[in-house]
Amino acid sequence: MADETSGDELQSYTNLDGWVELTVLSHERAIDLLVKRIEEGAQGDLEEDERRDLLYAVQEICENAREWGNQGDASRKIRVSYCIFEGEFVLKVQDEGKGFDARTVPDPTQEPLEVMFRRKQEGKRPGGYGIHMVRKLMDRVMYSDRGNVVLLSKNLRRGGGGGKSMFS
Amino acid sequence: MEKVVSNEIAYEDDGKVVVVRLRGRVTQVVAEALFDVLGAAPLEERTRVVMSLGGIEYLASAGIGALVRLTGERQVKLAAPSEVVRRALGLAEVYPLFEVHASEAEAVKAFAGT
Repeated sequence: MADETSGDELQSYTNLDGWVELTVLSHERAIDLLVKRIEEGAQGDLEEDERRDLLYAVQEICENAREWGNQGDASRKIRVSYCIFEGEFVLKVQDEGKGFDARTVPDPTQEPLEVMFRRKQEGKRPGGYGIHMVRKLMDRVMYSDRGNVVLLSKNLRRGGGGGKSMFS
Repeated sequence: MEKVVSNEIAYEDDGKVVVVRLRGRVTQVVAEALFDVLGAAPLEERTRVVMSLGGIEYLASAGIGALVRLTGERQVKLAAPSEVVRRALGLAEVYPLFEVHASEAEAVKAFAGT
């Protein structure tokens, strides 16, 4: 254990092999803290645009974990692990929900007004763009078979990135 | 006169056009609150809406969806979208859905010709 911090809303633990593990309760404020912690942890390794894209993607994925995965239950947890490899930022987000099939999520860019109308009829709040945007911001997005774990990675210009992935 | 609903939502209503100002972090909670505000009297009767977006620092998927849905339900013009907003709407591939103006005044003026 290289470092461990704990607060009411966020627990942080850094493994000796460089993985940072963060656990938060499922509410917006805690997710904000989590994103801030990742921003601090990644400082110096990412260019400004990479940092912006990564943090937006993390925020969206964690909001999905909170709202859809954990069904808005603030007592459930979201677990995030990340590690910076040579030229690649890898991050895993896990919720305590029953999971879902990411392949069934409709593409919101096809007939967007119709999609929003249909969501309203189904009693869903407006939205549905999160996964679509995250796929554009990150280089790889992979869901587990159950669908409650998502793995994201982004190639970094510093450290010799540019397509050399640990997943290649 | 501006009516402040929360840290993130404020509006002005002249009886013809309502100007809604969004600021800070537009999360799911804020997006849902926006519909509560616009769904209550007297704003529920306003079909002409200017969404002033210059003060937004973060626009969540729910906020993007709110703007899209609103555009399908009322006459909406966007005013002075911040760089964050333009980027988010571009990523979501919905930017072309909106009529965008450089300022609130221009957006309100544009309604005069309709």
